[in-house]
Amino acid sequence: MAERTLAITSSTAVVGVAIARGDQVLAFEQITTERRHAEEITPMVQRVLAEAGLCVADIDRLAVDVGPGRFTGLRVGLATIRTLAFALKIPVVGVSSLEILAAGTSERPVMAVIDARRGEVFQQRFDVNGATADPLVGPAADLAARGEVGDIIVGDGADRYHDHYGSGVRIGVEPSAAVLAVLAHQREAIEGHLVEPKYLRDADVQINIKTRHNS
Amino acid sequence: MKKPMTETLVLAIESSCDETSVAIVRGGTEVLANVVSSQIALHAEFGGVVPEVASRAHLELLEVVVGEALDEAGIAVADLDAVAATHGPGLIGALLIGVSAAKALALAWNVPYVGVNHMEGHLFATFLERPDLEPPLVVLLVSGGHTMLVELRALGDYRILGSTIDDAAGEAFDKVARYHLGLSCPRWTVIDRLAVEGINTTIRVSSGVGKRGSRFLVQRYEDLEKVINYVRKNRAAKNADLAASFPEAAVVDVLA
Ligand SMILES: [Zn+2]
Repeated sequence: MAERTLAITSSTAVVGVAIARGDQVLAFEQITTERRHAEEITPMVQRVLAEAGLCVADIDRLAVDVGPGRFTGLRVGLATIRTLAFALKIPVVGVSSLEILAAGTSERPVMAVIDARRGEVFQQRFDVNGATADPLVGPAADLAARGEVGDIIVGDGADRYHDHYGSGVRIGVEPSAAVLAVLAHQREAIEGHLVEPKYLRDADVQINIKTRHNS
Repeated sequence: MKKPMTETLVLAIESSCDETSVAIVRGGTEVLANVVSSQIALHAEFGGVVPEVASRAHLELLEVVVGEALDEAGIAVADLDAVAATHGPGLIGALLIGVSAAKALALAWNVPYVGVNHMEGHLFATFLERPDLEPPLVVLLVSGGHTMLVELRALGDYRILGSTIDDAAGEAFDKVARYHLGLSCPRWTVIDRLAVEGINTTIRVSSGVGKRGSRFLVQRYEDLEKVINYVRKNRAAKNADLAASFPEAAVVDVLA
């Protein structure tokens, strides 16, 4: 019987949980939330399991959106998935948010654009053979110019900076947990703790004396 | 069948600041494992805890610390009754790593998740040292982020009697070390080390009386800093002497 995969996406404002058996989606839920990623994920996992008629021990592999995107959001997803992997002793497939976005549409070439805030985006272009280059991070105004005429453009970064991206933007396309659950079926799964976040941007390092805390 | 409270086995995760810590405790007082991974070295070059750096480090070490705690406790996962985590206050991004991990463990092991207030965690540390204590109690809580006097009327029933009106003790330590002694992070430990060489009578501060309606603990660390500045300028005090005096002035005099 085909493997049962539990997938979580949380690197944008859309948090999603899905379960697929092989390439068939059994249950899928997603919500839009600005800050409540951590509160929402576990109850969503429980609801999606119930909808699929499964208990957590029935899951064979896990899949997670590793970013780039919102640092806190993607870490909450990774912490949840990696800890589940540890406790259930099952492997994990990590997929970048940009790949999940691109896999959500069959049209090619496609430009996946995720909001990186402060006027910047994470961006990667995919044609029929896959990614055409490594993902980039930079000002939306600059990266938008790297697209080519005829590109389909998806993602919350494209929505936000549609002035720069022009007419090819498909509004409201997010990295989907359902897409991830199916995509993971075709990928190699590894040990959970080896699945790394893709930040693509260093931590802002400012002296933050107020937060010093010693227990 | 429900176990008696004295047998309850809890795995707890704390990630509110710069330590990833997992403990396993039986019956609320018997510590079977306590694994602490400190990020002090990581933050040292920045002169303070950088929230984003802390959050990244928590995620990296998560399974390792949980695994070590389980090994150290030598218990079967099936015997655990609950998984707990500090759920605030603290660095939000850092807290969420521990909370998410604890919730995932609870889900996987089919036991309840318990979110615990950070200050409540500090309060209950008392019972690890003194399991014989019983409420009602008054507890003086002095940590890096919070300084308060709490009346513990019964388990779960608290009243804050007072707190410092500006900084917490730990923040005051940081500021004094950084701005007055010119030390780098991790300042608390540096103060302690330097203090060994100094004389503990350089600064004394008498406790003040209520300002801004605070009931019992009313001294301001701002005032203590002024005193330190004065002592430095006018008496050419050595750093080591200031370091030796500061902990007592900060903790004993200000909070007294
Ligand atoms: Zn603390």
